[in-house]
Amino acid sequence: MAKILEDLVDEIYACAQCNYCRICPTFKVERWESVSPKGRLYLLKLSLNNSELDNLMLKDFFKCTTCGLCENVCIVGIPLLKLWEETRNRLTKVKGVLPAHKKLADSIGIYMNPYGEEKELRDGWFPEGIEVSNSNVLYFAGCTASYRAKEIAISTAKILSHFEIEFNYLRKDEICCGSTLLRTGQKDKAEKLVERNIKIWNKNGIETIITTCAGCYRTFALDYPEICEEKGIDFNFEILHLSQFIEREAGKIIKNGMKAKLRGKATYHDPCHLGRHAGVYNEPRELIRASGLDLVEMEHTREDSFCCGAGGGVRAQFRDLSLEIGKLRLKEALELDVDYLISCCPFCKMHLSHSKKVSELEKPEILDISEVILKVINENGGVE
Amino acid sequence: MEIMEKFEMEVRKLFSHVSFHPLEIKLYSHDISVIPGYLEKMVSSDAEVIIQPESVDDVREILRISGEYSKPIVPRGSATSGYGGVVPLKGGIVVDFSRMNHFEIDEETKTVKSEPGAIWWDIQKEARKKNLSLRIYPTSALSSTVGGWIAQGGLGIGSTMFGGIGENIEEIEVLDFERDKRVKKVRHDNLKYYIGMEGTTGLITSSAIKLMDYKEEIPVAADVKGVMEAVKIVERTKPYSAILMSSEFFRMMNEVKGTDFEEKDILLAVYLEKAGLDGRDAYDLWNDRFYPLRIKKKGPSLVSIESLIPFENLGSYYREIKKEVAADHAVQTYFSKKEANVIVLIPSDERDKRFMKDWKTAFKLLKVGMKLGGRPYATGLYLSYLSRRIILDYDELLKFKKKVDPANLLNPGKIFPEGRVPMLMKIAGLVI
Ligand SMILES: Cc1cc2nc3c(=O)[nH]c(=O)nc-3n(C[C@H](O)[C@H](O)[C@H](O)COP(=O)(O)OP(=O)(O)OC[C@H]3O[C@@H](n4cnc5c(N)ncnc54)[C@H](O)[C@@H]3O)c2cc1C
Ligand code: SF4
Ligand code: SF4
Repeated sequence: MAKILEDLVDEIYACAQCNYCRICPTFKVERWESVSPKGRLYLLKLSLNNSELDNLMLKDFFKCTTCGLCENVCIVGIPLLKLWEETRNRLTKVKGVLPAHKKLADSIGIYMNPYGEEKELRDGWFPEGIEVSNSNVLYFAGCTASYRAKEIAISTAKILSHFEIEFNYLRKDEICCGSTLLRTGQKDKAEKLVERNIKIWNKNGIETIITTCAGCYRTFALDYPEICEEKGIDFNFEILHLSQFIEREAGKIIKNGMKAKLRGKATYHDPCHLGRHAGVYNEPRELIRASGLDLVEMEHTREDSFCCGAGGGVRAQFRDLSLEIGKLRLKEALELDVDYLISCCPFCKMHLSHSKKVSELEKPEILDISEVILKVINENGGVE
Repeated sequence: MEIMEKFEMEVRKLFSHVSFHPLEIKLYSHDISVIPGYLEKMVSSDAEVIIQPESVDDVREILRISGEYSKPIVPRGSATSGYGGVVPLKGGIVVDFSRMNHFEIDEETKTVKSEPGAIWWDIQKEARKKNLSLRIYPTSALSSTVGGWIAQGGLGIGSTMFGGIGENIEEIEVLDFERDKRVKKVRHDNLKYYIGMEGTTGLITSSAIKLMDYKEEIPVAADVKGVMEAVKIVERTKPYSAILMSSEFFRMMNEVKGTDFEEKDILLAVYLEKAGLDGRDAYDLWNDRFYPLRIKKKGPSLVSIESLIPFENLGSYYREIKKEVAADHAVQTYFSKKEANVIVLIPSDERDKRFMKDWKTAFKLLKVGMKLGGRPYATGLYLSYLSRRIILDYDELLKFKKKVDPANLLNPGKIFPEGRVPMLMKIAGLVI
């Protein structure tokens, strides 16, 4: 163990054990230090000094949603997110991958999506009557919006079409971005997807990539350039989340040109991968305001936002824990008595909706930003 | 059935949140301190079980089984203290109070009634919503608990105006082994039996803490030449809170954080409503007040020496620091009403020989501080050999301890020296 952690030793020893990272969503639910950043760093320190970590404690390493909140408060400024992912990569090499994470990887290996859905059905959502061009602007729908939250992909295609933005969509050639693998300690497998995706994009002359998924966004914007650098591959793509793209291209039209506005009170859930990881906070909020909704903020917002509970492979391997975290997030929205809880990620939407269902709540309605934009377009007599 | 098996069975039956897992136990058997390896081997020890009580009834049950099985009790907040106070020297039960974290603010009486596991900053956030504020809190407020800081007996932000935590408490409730295990309500002079006593005389189950009306905090930074100039400013302008940070501290911050703080000795004086001093506004420093340990990254370890020194001797103490500490170091001084907590921080490396040397310096500084009428910030486990010398009313407190805890099960070895640790630490102080 000490050997595989060799180059991480200084970060491990730097932990002051101050417990500021007690705000970790997983720790908030489970309340044992073995799942807190502080505890995990102490266990790593013990293992550097020859204490063996047993399987239970090893499993606890994977209860982290990779939300990054701990790094935000760390008293010493340890790059914790990187440390968690690196540690996972090392642990899986010596101890193997957790069962649910292995299943995800196997599905990706066969079907190019973690859901085990047929490749042939990937573009099943694509609305009739909308043209795909060979534009250098690509809409990358991602696995979740393609198979599980199709309304997001459909809304996006309709929005782009409404604003007469030519875009390419690779249909059955679109494959998983690799985010799930990168977060669950399977970087080697993810690297293959990186290479394949870049090859396809280059072949199609893509320059700008629009995503509706926060996970895809983070992976393309942060992980791909890093992996490409390691592998000596050129990476020259502009990566934008739909909210950034629409705010840039049509923000003013929505705000000033669309007179019929949406009504109601809404709050915005910053997806960790889009907000804290990548710094995209303002554009989704601008669009929500432009739609006419009354935007109010939850207790934890922007840099301090609280995870939905799904990320980092936690939803797959530790479903109950992930739902408990989801409930904590919903509680913050409930305290504001909002009509809508809006996010910018199909995975957040899916998970928060699930948490809402198990909590037997009626409100708030959970929407993606793409659905909000489409709603306001519809209000103004645009596409239905 | 073996006694231990019976004990485990009973504990599991009685409490919803327990852990006997050996690695979890490791996590709950230390505090933030790192001491030289050979000493650690001799003074560290593991708990037998961790229990997370949810109510006063749970705490009462913990006392009962502790008595029945002769298992020591080690109360624990967030373990942000660094004198071994939460180390289970003789094994036993670590009582993690983190689930007892409810509190209620009474706007009328301007107090907060809090369970021991509540986090200071959580209280402050709620108080602010009601236009109230804590009078004082530690700079570890983002994680430290009400029970932990009271039992540690600290000074903190606001202490320049309001003194130590003991001066800001209306009442605490405690449980101990005496009589019928009814909660004791403690006020006024009797608070001395619990504040700073590290849980050796009772488990704090509730506290009523004084609040104040919220007033805008105005942080001002002033360059000072020497600590005595800072003392003069503090005495003349009577700020709410005051911290003197050495130029080396800013240099180290700039090194690890890439900031561009001016590398000068700076007094951060915080006033309520109206600035009492000309100087530049210092919201940047004020907002960083929870991050005094940032410079640990330089280490990666940090040897920290904290001494409470009377104002009049601060100049001499600073001169001694210059003389005694050869290693690169930073100084932060937190002013209370008449004394100041001087913290010397030496970035070090516990994997390296210099760690021993830096500890040697630490012990030397402690001695120098005591010669100048000062005392260590706490005694805990590691410095219990000094308790008799530095704690006022020591004999009375010891008598009280024997009355409420005749079998010495409440955090044994802390404050009141016991076993070989005091001797070992004393020798370490002489030889390392
Ligand atoms: C970054 C940082 C900044 C700090 N700043 C300050 C500061 O400004 N001022 C200051 O004084 N200290 C400071 N400290 C030291 C430490 O944080 C304080 O002593 C702190 O308040 C301890 O709280 P805790 O919850 O971590 O208690 P712990 O460390 O868990 O416990 C402290 C002692 O109290 C006992 N105890 C805990 N709960 C109870 C209970 N319910 N009943 C009886 N006994 C109990 C424990 O056994 C132990 O002996 C700082 C530490 C750090 C890491
Ligand atoms: S990244 Fe999030 S879930 Fe993971 S340890 Fe940090 S705070 Fe906890
Ligand atoms: S906040 Fe950082 S230094 Fe403090 S305990 Fe957590 S990881 Fe360690």
